[in-house]
Amino acid sequence: MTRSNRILNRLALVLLALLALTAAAFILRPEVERYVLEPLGLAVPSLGLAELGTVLPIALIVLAVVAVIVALAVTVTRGRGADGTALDQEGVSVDAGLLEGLLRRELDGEDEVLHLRLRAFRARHRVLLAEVQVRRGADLANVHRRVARAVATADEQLGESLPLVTHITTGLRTRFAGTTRTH
Amino acid sequence: MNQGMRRRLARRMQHRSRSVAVSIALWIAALPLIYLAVESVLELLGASALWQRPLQVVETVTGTEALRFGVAAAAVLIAAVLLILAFTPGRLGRHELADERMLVVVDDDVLASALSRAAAGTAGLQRDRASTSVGRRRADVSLRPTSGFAVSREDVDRATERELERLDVSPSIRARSRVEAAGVVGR
Repeated sequence: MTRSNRILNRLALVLLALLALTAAAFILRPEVERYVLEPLGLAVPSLGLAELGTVLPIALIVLAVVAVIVALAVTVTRGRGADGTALDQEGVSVDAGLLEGLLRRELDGEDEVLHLRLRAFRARHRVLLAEVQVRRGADLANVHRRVARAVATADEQLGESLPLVTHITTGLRTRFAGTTRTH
Repeated sequence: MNQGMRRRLARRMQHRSRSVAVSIALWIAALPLIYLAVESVLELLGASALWQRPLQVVETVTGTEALRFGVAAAAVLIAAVLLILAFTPGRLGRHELADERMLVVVDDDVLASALSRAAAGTAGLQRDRASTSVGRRRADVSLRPTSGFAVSREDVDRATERELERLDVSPSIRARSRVEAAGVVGR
């Protein structure tokens, strides 16, 4: 649901793997030269690190700064895209919390549903994600039917069918809740 | 929600994003560079090194036989893990339920729990006597019957198949049940 680009993630992993392999080849340079490069008739010029003088430490500092900036940027921007607005058109804005309350009210009394959380995401399109935590051994068809009914009621009240993903899941509440409600 | 959007969202919900793996890998790559940068700053300032000067670090790593092979093996191992992460499908244990209005995705443990419920109900057992494991295309239901009471495997199979039909799971699943030979005392 988030804005993370999954193809870019895969490419980043491949790139990092190639960097690791390059580092391994550099460390095993004599073996790589003897068993891989020489049979192919290839020769790699010596790097001459010792002749670089103060360039080497400066280059290492620059590399480290770039690596930290990239790592920080990826870590901080990971999973972005969630905002609290379920609908925003023609000057009318509907908060996701309002819709969440509406759905919760509709599911009130449904013993098998322990919790509902609604989040709005804005990636390529605006999408809502409803996470429904259910009891162990819940009648899944019944939960699905009840959620669908709650969504239909919400659609009616909103006058709009917003793109919605419902994720029926378990969580900490499921672990601590029994299979049936005790009164 | 149009079909293209539904397909894209279903795919995103059923596959890992790998952004955590990317973040961890980037920090793993940055750590040796941060160390070398600290040594570089100390060298430029003329202060004594934490361990060795950057050039000496390179010479030590590439010059000591055991260290050389150890570090290279670690780098190759990291590269292999990253390539596996990049090229495997990264499927999450989730299935889609048929619904026209919205995309409904259900965790496999919830699905397993629902099948166990259907199986136990048909066999006349308590829910904890049925356990189910759900894979991408099949579900294995295991029942522990009460000693002295026979459980019809065919009835249980029919009940779980009926439940799966009712749910209209995608990708479709075939359920198979197994009644354990050793029963237990009690209901």
